[in-house]
Amino acid sequence: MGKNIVIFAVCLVAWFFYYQGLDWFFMKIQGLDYFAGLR
Amino acid sequence: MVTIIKQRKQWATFMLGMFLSISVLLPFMAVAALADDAPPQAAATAEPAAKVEMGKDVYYKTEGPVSGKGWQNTTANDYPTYNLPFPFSENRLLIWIIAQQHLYFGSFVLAVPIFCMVIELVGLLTRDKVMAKKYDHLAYTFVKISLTAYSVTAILGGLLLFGFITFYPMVFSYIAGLFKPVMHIYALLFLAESGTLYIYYYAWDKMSQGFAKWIHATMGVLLNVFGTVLMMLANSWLAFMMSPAGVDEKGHFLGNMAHLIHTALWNPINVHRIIGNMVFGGGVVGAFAAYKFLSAKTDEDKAYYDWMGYISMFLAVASLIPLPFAGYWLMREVYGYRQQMGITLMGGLLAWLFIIQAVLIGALFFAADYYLFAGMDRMKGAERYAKSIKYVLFLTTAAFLVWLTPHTLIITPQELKAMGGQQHPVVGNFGVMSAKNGAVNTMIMTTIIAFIIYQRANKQITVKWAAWGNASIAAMFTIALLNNAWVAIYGYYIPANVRVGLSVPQVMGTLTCLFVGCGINIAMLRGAKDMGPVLWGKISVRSQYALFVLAVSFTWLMGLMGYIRSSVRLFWHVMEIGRDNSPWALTHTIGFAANVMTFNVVLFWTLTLFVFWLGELGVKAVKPAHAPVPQPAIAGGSK
Repeated sequence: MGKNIVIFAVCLVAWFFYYQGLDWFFMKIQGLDYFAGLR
Repeated sequence: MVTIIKQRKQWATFMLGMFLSISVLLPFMAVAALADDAPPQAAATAEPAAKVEMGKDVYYKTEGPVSGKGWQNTTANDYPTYNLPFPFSENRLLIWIIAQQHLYFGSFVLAVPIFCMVIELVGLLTRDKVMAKKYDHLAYTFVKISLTAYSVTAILGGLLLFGFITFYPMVFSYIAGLFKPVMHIYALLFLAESGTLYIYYYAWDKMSQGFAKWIHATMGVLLNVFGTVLMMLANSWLAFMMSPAGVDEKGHFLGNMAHLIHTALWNPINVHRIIGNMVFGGGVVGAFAAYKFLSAKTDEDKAYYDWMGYISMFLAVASLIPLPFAGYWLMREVYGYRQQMGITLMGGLLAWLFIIQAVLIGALFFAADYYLFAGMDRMKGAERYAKSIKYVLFLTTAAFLVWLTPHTLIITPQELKAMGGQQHPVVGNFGVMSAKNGAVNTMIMTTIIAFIIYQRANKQITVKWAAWGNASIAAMFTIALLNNAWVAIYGYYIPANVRVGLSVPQVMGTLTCLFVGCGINIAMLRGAKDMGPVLWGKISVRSQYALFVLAVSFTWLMGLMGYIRSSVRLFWHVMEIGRDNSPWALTHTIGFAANVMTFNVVLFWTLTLFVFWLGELGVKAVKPAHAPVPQPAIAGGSK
């Protein structure tokens, strides 16, 4: 059970970076600033 | 025997050669036809005194020699009418009904060969002989249904042509003058498609073995090539009317046929229509299967038509998933072409029709999810996933509610005062594109989850990396849904141009769920233990009505969106070039338009039932060989 939670947590972190990277990348190739609303 | 096989091979090779020649020759014929229309440059060089009038392309901004008469302004007298009572006094209404029926049937007969091609190929590649035969029979059933529909399409096409010539002679004369070579190629392609379809159907049994079967499958591909090109050519006419190019501001042709065809909206419409046709075709065949399931007398028939309904639904929903993205691209191009046009569609005169569209699309996702969950009744072991269904449905419902919330409401002055404006302070926020994108992506993701659950319903996963696989799928959907919600909310805090750009990563995120999620799931199902066979036919009667809901919703949606697309031109025949001066150059009320659409839906389904009935007439004596079989491989990892 504990092992499964660790695996799930690792996957969550990996997918988090994947999705944030995806957002940033596809904004970048459109010439747009992904962080425009955060500055 | 050997001689017969040799003769068959020779005949098949000859047929293949003939069709390939036709397909190769067609572009040359097109070039030859276009060459006739090319400006006489050599003559112009020889006689420098003869000045060639030049015009500027309204879209491409290039210069070209003016040819043809250009648009001739019309008056109310240029639209010959019958003296019929309203609303039949409007030529537009008559054309609307005929065109819609032609489009419904055209869409159906273009989509079904795509399915036939895929299913026949699946049958060819399946090693299990019983299963292969079953797929082949299914493909044959599909094409049989479409054959009568093909004749109806052609008849409606003829009616539509006569309608154009008699009701809108000047408009038709202008369009035909511009697209003369395209129309000729269209007619030739129609001949090629008809020939291919008839051979494809009637030679099904004769070409059922060995090399001849591959030739037959190749003919299926050719049939689709012809059909798709046909549709694209017809699309060029309506795309020109919406976003003209290749002509000057007075509508004179400037000698470049590619510009005339390749207008701003041509490709988005092509893509949207191809996918839309597949969704619609799958829906109609699914309804046929449901009708046959409900009227089946034996368990064997029930099993077969249940399976057919599942395959049709699978194909329809698989096509439905990319459809919103194609629609989004089309709308983006509409805004890019004329911002005002986009506003009329989604924020102005026609915006309420998009709310109806939202409700219908929501109904589609609900029906698809319901059917998948109901289909789990066929499988032992599915009860393990029963508890997760409510969460999927909760998410779908929440997204659906956001999806259909309008930006502004039709309200009384008192309500307006109480609310402090036309926009509700809370739910009014859901009426903008940022929220809609988030909602539709959520609905698509929940449908993908439903499908993944369905795929593994009767399987016990045995791969060693099951813990990683399960965690990866669960984490991916969790993060994808959260990221989707984040992007939707973030869209409220950034400039409009950045917001529009956010839709691209949003789509890519959903596509990741589709391809990576389903990919991991299929990989996990390899070598999985069956907890029991899929009991085809053991499904609730209610589930079959979900297939009817899908089919009728598709039909309604097509009528609705077709009306929106066409009426966005408002009082123009050809946008900003040819003005509509008919007495009925007005936009009807939403109620009137909705009634016409509903009439069209009822008429189409009446005709379709007739087609189904006709298709059954000749086969009463022949019992199809459909032995009970386990599960279709097309479900992905189920076999």
